[in-house]
Amino acid sequence: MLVLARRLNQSFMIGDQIEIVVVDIRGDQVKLGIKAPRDVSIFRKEVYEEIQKENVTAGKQDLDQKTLQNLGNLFKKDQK
Amino acid sequence: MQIETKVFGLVDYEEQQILEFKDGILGFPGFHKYVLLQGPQFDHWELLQSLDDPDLSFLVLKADVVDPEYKPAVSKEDLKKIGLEHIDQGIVLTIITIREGHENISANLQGPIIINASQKLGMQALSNNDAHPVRFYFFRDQGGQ
Repeated sequence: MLVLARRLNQSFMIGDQIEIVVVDIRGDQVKLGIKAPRDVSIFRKEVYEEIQKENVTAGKQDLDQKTLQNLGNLFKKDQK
Repeated sequence: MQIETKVFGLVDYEEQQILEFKDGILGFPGFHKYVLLQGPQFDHWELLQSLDDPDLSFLVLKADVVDPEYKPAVSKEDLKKIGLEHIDQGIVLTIITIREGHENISANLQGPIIINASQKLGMQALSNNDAHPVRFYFFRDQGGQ
C-alpha cells in the first residue's frame, strides 16, 4: 500500500481526474474532500461490507416450500 | 439443460436464459452465471439461481413491486459495465432477506440487481442515495400508508 503524508488543505491525485483533499483534521477523524467526475462511484468501505454480509445471509437462507407459500400469500394480501 | 436447485429441485433451463454477472455478486465474486427462475406458487417472487453453486440462490422481487417510487442512483460508469446507457433500460430487482415474522422481511435497496435482458448481463449495483438502505422492511413501511 502506498502511504502519503499530507497536511491540512493539501491534496493528492488519483489519475488526472480524481483529487483527494484533506479538509479537516480533528482528533482521530479526518475529513476528506473528493473531486471526481460524476460517473465515478465513491462509497464508504462499510457499505460494501454491509451489502456483502446481507448477500451471504440472503443467498444461503433456507427457502422451503412452506416459507415461499407464506410469502406468496402475504404478498397477495399486501397488494390491494 | 438442467440444474438441481435447493429451492425448486430439478429445473430445466435454456442456454438463452443464462445471465452473466462478470463481477459476481458481493460476497460471491467467483460465481458468474445465474438464471432467473419463476416460482409456481407466487406472482411476484423470482429466484436468481447460481449455476455455479446449486445451494446459492437469491429470492428477488422487481423493484417497482417493493416500492414504485424507488429509483437506484447508479453511476453511468457502472451501468456501462452491463451495456446500459440509462437505468430505465434495465430490469431492476431487489434481493429479499427472510426473517421470522413478515414485518422483518427486507429488501436490499442499496445493492440492487440490474439486468440487461437483451445482452444477458447482470450486476449488483450500489445506489448512491442515503434513502436506500440495505434493509428496507417493506411490509412494515407500507403498513402505515
